[in-house]
Amino acid sequence: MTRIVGIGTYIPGDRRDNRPLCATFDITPDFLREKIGVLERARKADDEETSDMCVAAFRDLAERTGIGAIDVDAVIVVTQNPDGRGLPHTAAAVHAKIGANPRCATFDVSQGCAGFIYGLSIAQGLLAGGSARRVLLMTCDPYSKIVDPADRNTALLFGDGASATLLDDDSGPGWIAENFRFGMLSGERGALEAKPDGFFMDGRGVFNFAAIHVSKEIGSVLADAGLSLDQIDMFALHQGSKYIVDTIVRRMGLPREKVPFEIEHVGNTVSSSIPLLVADRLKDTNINTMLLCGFGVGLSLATCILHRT
Amino acid sequence: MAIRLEDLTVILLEAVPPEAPRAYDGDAPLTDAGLDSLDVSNFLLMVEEKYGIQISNEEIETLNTLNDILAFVNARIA
Repeated sequence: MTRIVGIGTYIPGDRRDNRPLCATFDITPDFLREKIGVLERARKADDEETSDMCVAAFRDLAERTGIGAIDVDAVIVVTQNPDGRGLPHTAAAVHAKIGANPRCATFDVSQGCAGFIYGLSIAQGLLAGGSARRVLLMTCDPYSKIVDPADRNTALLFGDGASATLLDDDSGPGWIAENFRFGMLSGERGALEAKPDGFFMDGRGVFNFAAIHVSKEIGSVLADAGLSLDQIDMFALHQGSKYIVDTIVRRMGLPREKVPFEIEHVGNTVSSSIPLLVADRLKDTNINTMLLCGFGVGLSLATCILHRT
Repeated sequence: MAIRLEDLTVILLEAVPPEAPRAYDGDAPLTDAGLDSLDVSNFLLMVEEKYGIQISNEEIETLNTLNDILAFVNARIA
């Protein structure tokens, strides 16, 4: 048996206020609040590396769970904005900075907004195969490294954040992730791309992908699991923008109160947006079943269902 | 069979938020009625789905009014 034990989080303290930028980008304050949904963006320090943010999330995880770095058998970092140029891998830097066990696997996973769910699946595979007993799954994709502050499609959207999730092979109380389902629309992979001259996002392409495919995918996962919408206590959707989340809610007829949107003061943190939503709710006894759906770079999407054990 | 302005208006009213206007002038730019770029994108996505057509980013730039969209759709499905 594999379980999720806990999730630690880290959001840098610095904020960049979007409100004074409305005139610059020719948008109204209403559009900023109701459509983008990001009033201010969390921003890492210039000298703060991706691995430093992962370490900060790990410290929070250690406080929540009591886990020590020496107890971890594998460190996975989901990122496409790694330390330096990604060689060596960021997980190796995290391993060194937290003082993890020398007999520990370390690797990065190149995924974006669907990355947390990919990571859960990979971590469970390591545990189920007996390669590890405790896995540290981290997400951290600081887009402040690549976003052009003058680009109207992306400058007001992305924030920096990180998460650290502990999974183990124990059968004690926790959460089980199952009903994984993955999907690709690789013909549209250029809709989100780090090009030589900067990061590019085709907002309409990403919106259409989310509106059409995410809604269908959630329906398919529920059908595969034999569950109805009523049996899901919370839908943790990637926090792409308020309009994207609202559109999925409207298209699927989801109860709005079951679909949190909480990035007004953080921004879209890519692969960290779902664990940031879920972390504190693992202790909420009113929530026993969650559906997680990440979608973005690739264009890819990944969905799974969490059950409290 | 050609579609009518009323057919597009039904889709538009589904696409926009409840607080958006309920009546639209076919010759006026949708942005004049208070729709923003995301509202228009959502509306056009629903039009694409309804009539099984694709509208490129370049073509969208030319579709400012309901009558623009009506002519475009009717040309595509003819």
